[in-house]
Amino acid sequence: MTGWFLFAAAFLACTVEAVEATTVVMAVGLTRGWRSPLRGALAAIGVLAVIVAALGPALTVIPIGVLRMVVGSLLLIFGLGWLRKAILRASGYKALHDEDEIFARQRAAAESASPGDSGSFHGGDPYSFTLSFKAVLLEGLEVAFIVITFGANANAIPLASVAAAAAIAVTVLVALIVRGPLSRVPENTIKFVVGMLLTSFGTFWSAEGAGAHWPGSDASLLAIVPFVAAVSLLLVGQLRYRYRTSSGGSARAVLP
Amino acid sequence: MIRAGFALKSFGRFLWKFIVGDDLTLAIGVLLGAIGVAVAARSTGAAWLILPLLWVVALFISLRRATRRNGA
Repeated sequence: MTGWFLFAAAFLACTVEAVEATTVVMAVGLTRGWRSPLRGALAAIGVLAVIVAALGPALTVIPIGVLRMVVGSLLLIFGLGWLRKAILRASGYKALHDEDEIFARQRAAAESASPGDSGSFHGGDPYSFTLSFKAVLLEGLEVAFIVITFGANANAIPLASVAAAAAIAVTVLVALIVRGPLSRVPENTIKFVVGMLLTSFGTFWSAEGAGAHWPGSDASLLAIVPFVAAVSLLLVGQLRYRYRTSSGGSARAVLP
Repeated sequence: MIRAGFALKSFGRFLWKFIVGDDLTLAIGVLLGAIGVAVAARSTGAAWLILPLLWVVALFISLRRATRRNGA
């Protein structure tokens, strides 16, 4: 059961980050040519693979109790951060993530940027390479963090890595077909779900690592996930109400 | 040496921002929760309750602060 949750969390988290990175790479590629942005993206994926390959096995050397408490707490802080942003978006206090708008902005910036000195960059475009490298690396770092912390705690780094690789493959495939921003992906809802899953697993591992025994052991996750969902939806409801009554407007809904 | 120190400081700042983000409340809630669980686990079987309760409070406070900043 933990394996399925782990796969789902890593896959969904990687999907939203891959969509965001793909938007930047597509915008630059369609505007200034594909060679340099693709090189930048591949270089960043290489750096991320090295980080996961180096840190993953290193973490498994740490005693499982300490690992679960420290890494579980970090995962919980990280997950709560995602959840906080998702709740603010769902209640109307924070703008929804809009890939169409980001794509248009990146495209305009790529068009107005100088062509660059290709001679000093092995025949490539330094602007495209750097932008693509930074986008993939920064978005990918969050995925690497999730893969490492999830994988190390559940002793399943290969499974988490497979989930991440599958998400990247699916996103790239869809992007190649669409040849534009993947705005139909329900990113805001997926981020909400990922925030809930990270928070649930972080809570479970952190408390267990600190010495607590969950009633029903692993099966308690079947109660923790709905608890986190209920708390989140209650907070969204309360904040939406406050937003509507204070602004007189209606909150933009992310959740059904 | 100075450059290495600067790079280390920058990396530390990036790591802090990456994990903790822009609101320390959640991190404090989780830290207090984990410590509370570690202390309570020696004497009670219901120590697991402490962590979810504390992060719920921390999340509530953090959201309240964020929405107040937005003028609500």
